[in-house]
Amino acid sequence: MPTARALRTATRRELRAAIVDGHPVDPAQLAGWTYRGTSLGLPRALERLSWKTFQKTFWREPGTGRLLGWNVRLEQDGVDAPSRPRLRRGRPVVEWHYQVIAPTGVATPRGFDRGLIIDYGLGRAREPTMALIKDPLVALTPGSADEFLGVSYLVVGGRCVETPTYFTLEREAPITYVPYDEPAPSPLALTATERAWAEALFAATLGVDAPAPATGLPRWDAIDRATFWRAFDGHAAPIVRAGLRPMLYALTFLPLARGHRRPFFRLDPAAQAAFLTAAADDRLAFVRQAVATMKTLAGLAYFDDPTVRARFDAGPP
Amino acid sequence: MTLVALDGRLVRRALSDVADVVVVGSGPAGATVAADLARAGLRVLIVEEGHHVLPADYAASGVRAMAQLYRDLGTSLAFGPLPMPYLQGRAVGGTSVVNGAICWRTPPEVLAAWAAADPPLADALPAEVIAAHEARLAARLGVAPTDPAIAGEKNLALGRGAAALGVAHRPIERNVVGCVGAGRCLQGCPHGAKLSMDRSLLPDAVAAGARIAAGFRVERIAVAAGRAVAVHGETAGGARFTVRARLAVVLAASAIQTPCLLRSSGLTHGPVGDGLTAHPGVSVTARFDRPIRAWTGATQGHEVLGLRGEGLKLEALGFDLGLLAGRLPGVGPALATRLAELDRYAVWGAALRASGRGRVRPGRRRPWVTYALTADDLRRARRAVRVLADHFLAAGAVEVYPGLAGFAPVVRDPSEAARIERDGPLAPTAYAMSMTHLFGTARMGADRATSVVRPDFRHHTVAGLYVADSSVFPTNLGVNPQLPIMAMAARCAERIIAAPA
Repeated sequence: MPTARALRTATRRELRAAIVDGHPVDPAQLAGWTYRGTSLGLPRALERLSWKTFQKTFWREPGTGRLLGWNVRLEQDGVDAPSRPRLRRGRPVVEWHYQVIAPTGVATPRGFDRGLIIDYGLGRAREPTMALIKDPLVALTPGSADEFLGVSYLVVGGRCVETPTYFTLEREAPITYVPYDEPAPSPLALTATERAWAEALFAATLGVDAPAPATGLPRWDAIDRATFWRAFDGHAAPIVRAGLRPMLYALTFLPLARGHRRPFFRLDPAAQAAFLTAAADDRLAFVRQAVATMKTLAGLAYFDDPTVRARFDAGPP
Repeated sequence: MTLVALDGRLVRRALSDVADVVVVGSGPAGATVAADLARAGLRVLIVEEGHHVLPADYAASGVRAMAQLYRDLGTSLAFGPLPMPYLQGRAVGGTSVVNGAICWRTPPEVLAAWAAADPPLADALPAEVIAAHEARLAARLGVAPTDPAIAGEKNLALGRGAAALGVAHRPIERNVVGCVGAGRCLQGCPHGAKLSMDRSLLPDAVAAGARIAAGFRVERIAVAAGRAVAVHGETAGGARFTVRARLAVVLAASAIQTPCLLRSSGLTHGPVGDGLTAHPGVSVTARFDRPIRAWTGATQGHEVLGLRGEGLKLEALGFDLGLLAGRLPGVGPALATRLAELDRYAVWGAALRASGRGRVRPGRRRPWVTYALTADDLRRARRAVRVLADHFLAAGAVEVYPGLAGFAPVVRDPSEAARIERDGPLAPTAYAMSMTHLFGTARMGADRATSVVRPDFRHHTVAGLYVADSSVFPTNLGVNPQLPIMAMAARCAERIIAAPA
């Protein structure tokens, strides 16, 4: 099988044969990467009107696990120039949103089902005209996700219509920009200040708020907490999200009533540990439950981080 | 073959459809009833609120996998003197995608007790018919004892502890094929080894002609002239939908969602939503002097049977690191020291055949669930903590942490363990428990005043409306209910097929 660079001079017949003889693509190897795209097989005049190079991205949607993506418009600096996204209001111009799916059950031209299908009808932001277009994608080297060949075809009235719009994709860099807005914050979500208080409690509860060479555990502030907060704010039961706030306020300000003269986040580590140890055995069930809740949430957040898991040779959960 | 025919995320305009039978829910009950009805030649549409996620697409992050596959990130709560979390899957395949894959047959004494309390149930649920369904379904799901080679130390240690105490025990029978002991049953098996419904009966149903609509949340059952004729709801894409049912609507949405759907539809006849029973679980943590690596091996691979007469069934629990960390004693630097040796800790649990009752009502945002343990249940929970400690010590644990508020935090020998049962607290708030296996919120019975569905699974007052899930169980079982739920659903399918059109 030729390389992506060698295919730049291939004829349409050779490109079609390369699609039909292509290799399967492992979707797990695509997720999180951008690929440099180069259009092939189009008349030069048409390329000048549209684009010769572009970027395709592959992004795993949190929550659903769908492998989604979008095209990034590039400045047309030449086929061998570095990728330079075209910007609008300081952000990359994105278009052609899609979902990557297996070819099973998808109408394709004969032999176009070797790899994956880029389906523009299933993207997160869709336009009705694009819903007709699909791109089969095959690997140029068995087992490798570095170079692909694709082509567009239309599905009209249940019939597949091939087009000459072939393209190669070459792996470029991890994704740094995702155009999809995060969901609007819920009124139940903690404010930034409250979240800082919560994280002070989480870190102190697990005892990973300060350097601890003896344990070899990563510090709380060195781990990824954003994944946990996104999942918690986006998916936890409303009653639990609502219930976290009174627990948080109780543990943050209870030290004032227990002789510490400062809220929890202003205590030194030793005083924090002393307060939490006493609170874990408090006479009030609500206070005990608050400590247990902080411990559970802290454990979920902390041990989801890859560096922490690596410490236990645990791999992905 | 594509499993999902309609993806609700992509349906953004009002949609109408029609089928002979509409099945609400795609978990063990819904998948079974749908497969059997489709094989009988009926046009079946399965309507599922969750989405279809392939094993290769399960999120690598455990928290994100929970967001993907669980209802409310696994934080659903039942309120009462002791608030307890309960877990429900929300995906094509329902809770079977995230359960421990444990398979038991319905204990004959349970069926006998149901028949004794309500004699028409003897004819409606013949033990030999239920057993035959369970045998057929177990064969389809590849149910077999856990292979010791992939069980992992936490499971093997429980077996050794039980053997040392002379208590009957065995490897758990699970619906897995090719399990490698990844310990990820509860986050969705990334290897596809668990034959959850999305990998077994739902493909069977689709092969027989059934269709699956995923991302479709049913909000109401439409009844006309005393007959269920349609379901209405909203797609994940925000569109309204209606599915007309020519013959029947089958509810298989769980003992929480099914009664809420009935009540939200104005179908409040009988004790709908009342009589919630469960198997509350209590767990104990222990430290060994050698690595256990509790997050590896079969998630739940060994069980102790010898205490079932007391309403206790002990199981090894395979929590991922985060949940395991939350079960360790202490806070602050003391906890950090323990966390550094997390691989030496294990958690085992006991499922209680509790006599407590609860109820379920639809709430503004989520179902409102209440549940209260009885004094007997609390004594049983206290005994469970003691026997779990005994098993840990017999298996070689050096420290056991009963986790009872106001009681000794560490137990190191059997005499201290015995003190738990003698002097341990009986206040519900002294315990940390969770609720598993929910039943009875649309119970089956011959008396329309005390039950919601008839012995043939049909609603007492609405023709063409059936309930096929664990809501119909008159009592809890004392064992893991996946296979019994499926057998009951198969029986429900038989009754629908036999019913006059």
